[in-house]
Amino acid sequence: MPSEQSEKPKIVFWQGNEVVAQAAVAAGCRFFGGYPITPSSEVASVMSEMMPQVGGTFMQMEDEIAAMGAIIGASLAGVKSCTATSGPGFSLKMEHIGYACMAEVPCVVVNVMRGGPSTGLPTALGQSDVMQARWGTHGDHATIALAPAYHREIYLSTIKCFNYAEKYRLPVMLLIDEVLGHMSEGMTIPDPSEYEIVDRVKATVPPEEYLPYDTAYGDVPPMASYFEGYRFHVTGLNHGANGFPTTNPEYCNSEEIRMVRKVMKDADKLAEFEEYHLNDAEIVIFAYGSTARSAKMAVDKARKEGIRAGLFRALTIWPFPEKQVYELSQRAKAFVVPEVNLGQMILEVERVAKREMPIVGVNKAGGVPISPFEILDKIKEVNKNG
Amino acid sequence: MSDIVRYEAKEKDIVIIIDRDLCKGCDICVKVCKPEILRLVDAPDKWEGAIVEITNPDECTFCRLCELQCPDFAIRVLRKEDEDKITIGGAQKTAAEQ
Amino acid sequence: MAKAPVDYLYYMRAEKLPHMWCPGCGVGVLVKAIIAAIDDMGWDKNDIAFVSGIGCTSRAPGYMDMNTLHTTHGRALTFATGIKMAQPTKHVIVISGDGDATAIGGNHFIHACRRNIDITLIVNNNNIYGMTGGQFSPTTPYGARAATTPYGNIDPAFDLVELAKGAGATYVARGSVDNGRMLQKFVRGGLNHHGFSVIEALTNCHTQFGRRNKMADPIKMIEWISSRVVSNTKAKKMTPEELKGKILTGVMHTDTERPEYCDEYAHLVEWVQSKKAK
Repeated sequence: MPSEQSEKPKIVFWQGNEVVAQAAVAAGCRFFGGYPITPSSEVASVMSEMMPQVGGTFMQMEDEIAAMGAIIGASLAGVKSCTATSGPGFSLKMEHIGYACMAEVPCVVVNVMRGGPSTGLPTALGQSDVMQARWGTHGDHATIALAPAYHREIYLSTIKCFNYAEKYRLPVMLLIDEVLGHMSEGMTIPDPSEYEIVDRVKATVPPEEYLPYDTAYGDVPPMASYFEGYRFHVTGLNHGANGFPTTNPEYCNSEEIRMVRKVMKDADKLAEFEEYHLNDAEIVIFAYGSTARSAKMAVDKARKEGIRAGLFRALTIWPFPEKQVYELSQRAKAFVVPEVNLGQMILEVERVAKREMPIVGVNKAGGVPISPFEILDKIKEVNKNG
Repeated sequence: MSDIVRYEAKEKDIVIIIDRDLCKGCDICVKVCKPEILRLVDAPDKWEGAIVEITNPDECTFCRLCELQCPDFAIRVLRKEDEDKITIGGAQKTAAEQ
Repeated sequence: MAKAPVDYLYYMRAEKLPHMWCPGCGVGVLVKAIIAAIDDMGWDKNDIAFVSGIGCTSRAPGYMDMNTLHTTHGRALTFATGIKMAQPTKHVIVISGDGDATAIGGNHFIHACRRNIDITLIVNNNNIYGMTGGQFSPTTPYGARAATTPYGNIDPAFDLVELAKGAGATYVARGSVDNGRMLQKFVRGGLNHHGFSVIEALTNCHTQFGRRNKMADPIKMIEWISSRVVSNTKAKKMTPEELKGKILTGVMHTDTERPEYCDEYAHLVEWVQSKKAK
């Protein structure tokens, strides 16, 4: 919330997509590679205006895959980079998202979710890419994905995405949706004192001693940039510490494990969420993104009717907040999981709850938001049955 | 490693250097040599294939085609004074092991 | 004083040799020509990014002692574009095979040409997908046999030079593997050119293409290439009948008028910032 300072904080009235672009610049992003796609296009528009102003690069590439390739290239050359897309574009980017995972190249992928599959509902809301964000690219890998629900939170989450990308050396996903992306909302621009900016740990050893995937420094190897004298090799093949391809089964296996571990061992630190009336909650709503706004109102309405409902709003959806959801499952009677898809994150809630209890979804995949009343109805139904 | 063989011309300012670890015996150099002073010989010390050797370096015309057309970086045709100006050898495996 | 001979291994990760290409493979000759051209330019190897996609040709960066990037199939130019725009003063070279550059990478190819970004693309055209086992590519000649054209190829072939010219590349040359000196000269021309340059190298894959087309040994296939190519200067003196079925080599197109993309972007940034300052 805006602090009570003598100077009046400046209120801006931005679309969610503009918030993303403004925050990316604040995070230090100086390369944007994009491709037009609804409903994310405004991110590119704002970037095309801002990047020249800050001396960064805006490029509209020939396709989604190219945009993703270009941001990886720019990042290897030492520049923080991001791209923004939606639905089908997210599918196309998967090849290079996998590359960035394997080669451990920091970058940020913004997905303004719409209805799908395929071209689906280009101008309408969806939350149906949450599993694709986790498993869309082939092969084992860890994923960090944030799904903010409010514009100011989008701003801070965007910056966090860049920070995580730099800290863990991987492509980090920011998942918003058509409603958030196109809705304008008043907010104060977060002051730089409210967030930190993280930069990748650079290589400090002399070039002749540098190994681009040296695990001696821990699970995230220091990263040199191109043209700094290190002359290292990067490949999408499984590789040794020196960056060159290897098929040694033991080494490949241990590296795959390391690349997942580097994120998963910090799952607790990464888990960010909002708890709303959870202390005595019997019915827990698990929600994320714009749907969480409806969920919050549904909780208020349920409380007014004497139902002990609460909201667990996940900001970090990947890694999934396992510990928190598990703990809730041990004291709550039921979960209600509203999402604008036919039931995706509910699978994670079911996986983690590990207890026989009602876990019910509120699902819509027609491109319109779930209203608080629809969630309230489900809460009442569960309450009556439970 | 690097099994280097030098062929120094007596009458001319030419030295031909063969890296026997890099040669894969493809025969291209033999075919492009106008004076026909290259030939493939069996190399049981390396593999079941052949490796190039120079029969008479004094007949070399310094056209350097064998060097330019060698896909394996196995041949250098040099002036004697240049020999220590370039890197020779360094392979850690032989062609057969590759 | 004569120029010192090219120190090939200085530009290479010599410890990675011998390379993985078949005996007699044309890629080795091409890589040698590229190194000689780089040496001639006098570039510092710290300032060069050498980028590739997937395939036999695309293994070349692994042997080069530079900033090397082995990317995804067909998409080397996208990574290279990001690198070049992030560090416009550095040199970016892309090496690609014919399938890599013109099939799966066809879109990236034409758009890099269109932008006229200062990157040099060298296409090792051996008319076949070598690494995956000899499937036909967009440059496999009509009628030729490949692992996926057991009855002969019915797909028409791309002319890379025309494709590059039409898409807007500002330096386009074609050489052949039987003449390493010529390849070196054309690559040198591309490196020296300020804009997007494309050098097509006709090379031999006797293992995958030759074996299926009665040219299983490198000499035979190189001779076949020699028999098909005619330099564009020589072609001027030949009749249309004599030129039938021939492939022209030489510097096929140059344009120094079209603005280069990094320059254009730099001007844009300058203009925006000066406007903002007012």
